[in-house]
Amino acid sequence: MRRLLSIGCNDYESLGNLTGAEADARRIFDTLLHPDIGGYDTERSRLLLSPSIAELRQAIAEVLFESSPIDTFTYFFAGHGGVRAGSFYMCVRDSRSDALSVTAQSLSDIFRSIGEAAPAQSNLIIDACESGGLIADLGALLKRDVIGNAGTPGITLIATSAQDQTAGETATGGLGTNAILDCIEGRDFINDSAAMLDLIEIGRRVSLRLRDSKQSPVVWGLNLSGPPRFCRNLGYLVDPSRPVRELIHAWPQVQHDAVNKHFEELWSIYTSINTDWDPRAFVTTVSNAIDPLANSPEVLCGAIERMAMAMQIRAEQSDDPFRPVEVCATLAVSLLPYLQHNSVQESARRLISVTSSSLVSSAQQFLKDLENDRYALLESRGGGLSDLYFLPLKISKMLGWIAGVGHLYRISGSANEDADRVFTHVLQHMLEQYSGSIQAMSDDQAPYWALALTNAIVLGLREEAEQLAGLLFYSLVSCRGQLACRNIPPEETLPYLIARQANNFDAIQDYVARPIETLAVMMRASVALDLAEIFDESLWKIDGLAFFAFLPSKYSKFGCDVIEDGQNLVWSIGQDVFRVSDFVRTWPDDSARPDSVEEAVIGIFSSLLFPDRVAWYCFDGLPV
Amino acid sequence: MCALKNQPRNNYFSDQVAVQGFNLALNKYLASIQKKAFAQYLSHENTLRLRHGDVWKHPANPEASDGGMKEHSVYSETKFQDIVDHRLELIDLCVTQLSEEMHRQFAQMMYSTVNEACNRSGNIVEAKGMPLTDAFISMIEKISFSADRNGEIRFPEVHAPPDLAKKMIDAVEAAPPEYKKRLEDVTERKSKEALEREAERKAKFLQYGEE
Repeated sequence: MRRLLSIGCNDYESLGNLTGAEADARRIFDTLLHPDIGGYDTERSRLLLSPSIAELRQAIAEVLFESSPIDTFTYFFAGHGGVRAGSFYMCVRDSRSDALSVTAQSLSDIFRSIGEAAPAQSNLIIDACESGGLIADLGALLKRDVIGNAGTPGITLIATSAQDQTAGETATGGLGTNAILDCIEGRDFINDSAAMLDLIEIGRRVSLRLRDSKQSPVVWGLNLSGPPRFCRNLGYLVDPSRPVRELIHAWPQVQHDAVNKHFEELWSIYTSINTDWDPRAFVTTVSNAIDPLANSPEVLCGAIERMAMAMQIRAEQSDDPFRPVEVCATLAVSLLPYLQHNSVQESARRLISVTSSSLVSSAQQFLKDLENDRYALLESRGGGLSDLYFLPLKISKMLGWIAGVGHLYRISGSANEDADRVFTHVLQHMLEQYSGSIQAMSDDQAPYWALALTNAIVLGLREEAEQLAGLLFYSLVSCRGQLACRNIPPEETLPYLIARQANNFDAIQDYVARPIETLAVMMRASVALDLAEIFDESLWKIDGLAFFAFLPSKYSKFGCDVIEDGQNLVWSIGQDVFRVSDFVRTWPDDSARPDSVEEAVIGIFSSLLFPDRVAWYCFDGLPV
Repeated sequence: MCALKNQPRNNYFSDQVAVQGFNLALNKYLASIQKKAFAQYLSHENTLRLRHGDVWKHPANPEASDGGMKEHSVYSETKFQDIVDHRLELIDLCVTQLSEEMHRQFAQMMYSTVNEACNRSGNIVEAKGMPLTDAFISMIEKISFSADRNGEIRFPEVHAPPDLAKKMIDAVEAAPPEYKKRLEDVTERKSKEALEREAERKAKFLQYGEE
């Protein structure tokens, strides 16, 4: 059962009248009740035009609590909105601005009612001035005690006007409502890959459209309960005579149980994406939630793609343009153990495609920022001297991620000129403007250097690659290979820098990496760049330094926290290696390779997200 | 929720927790250096820390100085380009700059506080036109020695600019035996007075040193 409650309020007794709210509510009502578009129940759905607060509350009770259980509930409101004491209220005919709590409809009460009625999915669309003020409410609203029996976080919300703004009205209706209807009615393209659309996809598109209209839409939702079912996707080619209800395929109970069981953790990672990003915690939570679905690969893919939709939107709120890239890549990594299923491979390809295009855009944004501000990579919030440690790490990450997209396209057998161009420009900028900070600082940088050096070599940027390798090798030799270890606590980074300046690491030995993987990367790159003999001249300066390479026996577990199967190969300068050739000669040629294109690409994502592993196959095809 | 971004600046691959950890370590490092510098002027047992308000009152000792909060502030400037050039010596430069300035401000405050107290009590020696040896002995005369609870005399500390201090030491060392005898007598008398005052202080207790 699909039910809609659509409210538009033009007439106010003590607030200024509006002209287009009722028309907006009617248009939404008519569109969503159309059997070929929304398929909402004509008998049980309601349209309210300039109602009183009593009429509105009565309608909510009837729509949500009378007769059979509700599959999808959609609530639309156009009219005045207001924020009091951090709570958002929707004003109707008899609402008073000095008594909103008793004369207007609070958003939190709607949430409580949804929690009690427990529809499988709920959609809220609010086109009202100050609706951005509901942001303040959401943190408190989306807790289990408010949502109650709804269990799974199946609520999506779009508010199309930010606080202190007025919802723009045009001759044809509110800007926000127009944008939403354009998506629903197929005038604005969302995708052509699914029969049904989710409100969050529409919200994302509306956000982009309204970006230039001075409105700041709020799109929020972690709707993991079943497949998208807000309205039909008119961009998807399917027999138009098939009713909407036939297009909605229910997911099995196991999916609801899995999501429900991990609700708190999923909610926690969702809310922290744009602030405290922790890819390991993220992939662990997602893996725990999808693992019970391993026997239903289609459902598993559906769950991951639903997460991707919601999480990516959340990530776009971060001030790091690479956050959405990392989020998508992390979701792809969680598919790694299931790639033997065709449907999972298809899903992985879609995620890889989204990640790679997002990565190219983020890299282009960085280049733009760098051209406007040569210090764009420095910490913007009180970094100060900490950038002496963190800037070299950021440079390696930046080069590694952007190089990663080049590898990704090559592995997939396609070329992307944008990806190659942006990498070339960023590398040249880094060498020109940040050469002092191109430092081997931590062994965590090894996978990034591997990807950046190999990508530069493959692209024919020989001079740049030589310069990069030279700077890194020089910095490594200068500190006698005493790189910071991968888990150095933040408060030990200052003592590490002090030790590095004094070139005396006695006091910080616990936090010096031993052995290091960076030197293995340098040596392999030196061969490809014909620099081995030059490196040989300085090897005596790092006499005694141990270095290693970890080679997994298979890549399906390459995203795990600890990869159990594989070999740790270790060498020591001055014992078994006196020249680069001693190392290269003993490098195993028969090490495992990824089983598929998707596994190889996701393996690269894994090494970018979890830099305690190097995707050594990125050296394949280079001179040995 | 997804309000469109309006932050003025993108922050690439930032790890705020790690940056805060670094800054905390830097603050601790600076604090430890500052503590060592301040210890040159104040012993730990003469340091009172307040949690609320901003001044100490001594209701049972109206003559005691109230003291009070004095604000010290220093800042260090680092050029972005120096960071980008990875000049590790910036850490030393910054720490030295901050600690020296804090040290200077603290010393200035100490001497001005002592100066104010001396002016208030008239405990001043006018050394102009006087030989250094005489000025030194007059200064010792003006100072009350103190004795600790174990009967150990605490001799006064002399803070003087390095060149004046050297001259003073040279003059006292080169003075005739009669002068040295006079200085010894003053020191002995002052020590005796200090011990007497300490004994008087202890006598004010109902009992002292007996279980």
